[in-house]
Amino acid sequence: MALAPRRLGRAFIPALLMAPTGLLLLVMIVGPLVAVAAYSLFDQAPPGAHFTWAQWETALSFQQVYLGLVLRSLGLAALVTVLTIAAAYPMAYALALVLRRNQMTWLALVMVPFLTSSLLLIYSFIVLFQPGGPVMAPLAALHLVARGATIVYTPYAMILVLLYEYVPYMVLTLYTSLEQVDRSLLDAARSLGAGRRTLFVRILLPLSAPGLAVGAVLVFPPVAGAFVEPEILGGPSAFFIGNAIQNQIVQVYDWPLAACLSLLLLFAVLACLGLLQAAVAAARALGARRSRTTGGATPTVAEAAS
Amino acid sequence: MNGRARRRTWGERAALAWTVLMYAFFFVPLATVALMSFNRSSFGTFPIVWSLHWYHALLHGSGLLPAVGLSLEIGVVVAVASVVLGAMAAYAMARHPGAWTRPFTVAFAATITVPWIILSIGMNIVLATLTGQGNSVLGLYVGDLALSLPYAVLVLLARLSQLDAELEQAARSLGASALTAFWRVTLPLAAPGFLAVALMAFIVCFNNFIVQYFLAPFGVQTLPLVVYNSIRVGYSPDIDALSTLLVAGAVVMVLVVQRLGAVRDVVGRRSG
Repeated sequence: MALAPRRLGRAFIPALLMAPTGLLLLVMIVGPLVAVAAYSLFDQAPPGAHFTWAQWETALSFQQVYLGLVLRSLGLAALVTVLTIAAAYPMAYALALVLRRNQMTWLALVMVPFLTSSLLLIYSFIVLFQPGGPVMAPLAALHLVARGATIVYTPYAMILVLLYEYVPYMVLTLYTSLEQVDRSLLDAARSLGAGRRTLFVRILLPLSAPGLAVGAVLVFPPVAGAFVEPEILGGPSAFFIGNAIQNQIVQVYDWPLAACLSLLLLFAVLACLGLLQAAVAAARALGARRSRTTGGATPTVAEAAS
Repeated sequence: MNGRARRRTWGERAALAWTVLMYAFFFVPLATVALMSFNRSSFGTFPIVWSLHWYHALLHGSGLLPAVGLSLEIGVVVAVASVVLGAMAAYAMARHPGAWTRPFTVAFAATITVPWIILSIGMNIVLATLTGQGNSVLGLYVGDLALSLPYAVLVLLARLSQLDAELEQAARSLGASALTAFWRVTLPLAAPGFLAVALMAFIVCFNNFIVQYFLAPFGVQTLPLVVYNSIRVGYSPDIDALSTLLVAGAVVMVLVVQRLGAVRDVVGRRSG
């Protein structure tokens, strides 16, 4: 008798605690995804909507620009992700394994751009590089660039600002992986004659692989959907799938096509992340096999540390 | 470990040099804006004429303050809601784990991979269907909360899982009620995580341009929307003043987080 209400309470309390979060995410995360999927099959925004494949035919047609725009966006996202890793890796390495004092203070400073609105980062970039501004005016005075020249409103500016926004994420996630590396492990490997390459390939890379994967997941999807940076900074030629979606919403008012394009973007992003995951898994399997056949001690130690 | 520090290798020096460059990349633009905020010129021209004019303009009659006010309001409300709801959910998942917890964890993590532009458009459609209005101030609160809550749950779950459940059970076996045990034992131990989650949620909402762009009703301005609109018009030094204050606020916030040893809890959220 005493057991029954207790057991009931055991299931009831977690359900009660989960209810608000579950409900909110059902309505505001799952609901929107379902709504976007439904709209992509409508001929017009309800009421009075009818089922049609027309949006998908438009989105997937080779006569239209959209497939090309999706590829451009994925290319931009891949480029920015790779550049972000290249810029962040040495930094995370220095913070986690080279600095001997005040690591946390330096790491905390990385969070300042990360906490600042991306719009303010874009704005500060424009202020710095605007024609006649602090960088361009002296260059123009020295006749190194034409008067009124600027890198703002070019694809370079767009990519630099995307790096400005996303390198901090990558530094922070890589730091959490690299800080687990035992410095004495590196010293031991060095004193046993391991070269820089060996250290990197056999110790650092395997240990930071999870951080790299998390960082890529944090950087790739938002960049693939980015529309503000191209619009404000990229100049006239910078037009991506995010811009096409934004145009359909705010200028054309074609919600079904916008929904269809967003879903196309989502599928493309998920496919890329799936490929990335498969690649990481394959690399890990390969690494495991190699360390078994060579009987190398280093990866085993590294795996134990991770 | 306790031996003399060995000499740094060339690779390590190169990494340090690169790090210095990256800090310059992070801070020179923000510092330039701070410098320009003290320049009287309306066009950011040199030489600098020192003045607090733009701070005065910001406080009196610039259109920026109401937008900042709304952004602060959304940020604070959503931060509190994220901590409370997130703690409830994380507590249920950490202390009553079952077959149901794993799908929830996966679902929370999966929301991270969905570009916000898609969710924002979908939210607009859902809100239009449910309330008749796709763009509303209510939508700003609910939409921002929906995006920050998965992070809140995951971070708090990680924090609570690290805590020893036995401490709580000890309190229970000594006669504390479940609520008392949570309040007196779990909460103080997890406090840095809670603070980190509150800050994260606040920042996510305060800076969330995309959701606000697609959900804000016509004429309602939040901070990111105001900056977006004025960037396209041109240079406006009152934004310099505002930006300087906000970056100073971010520095203070970061130092608080660092003092509390909660840097790791903040790592792993995103915006975009």
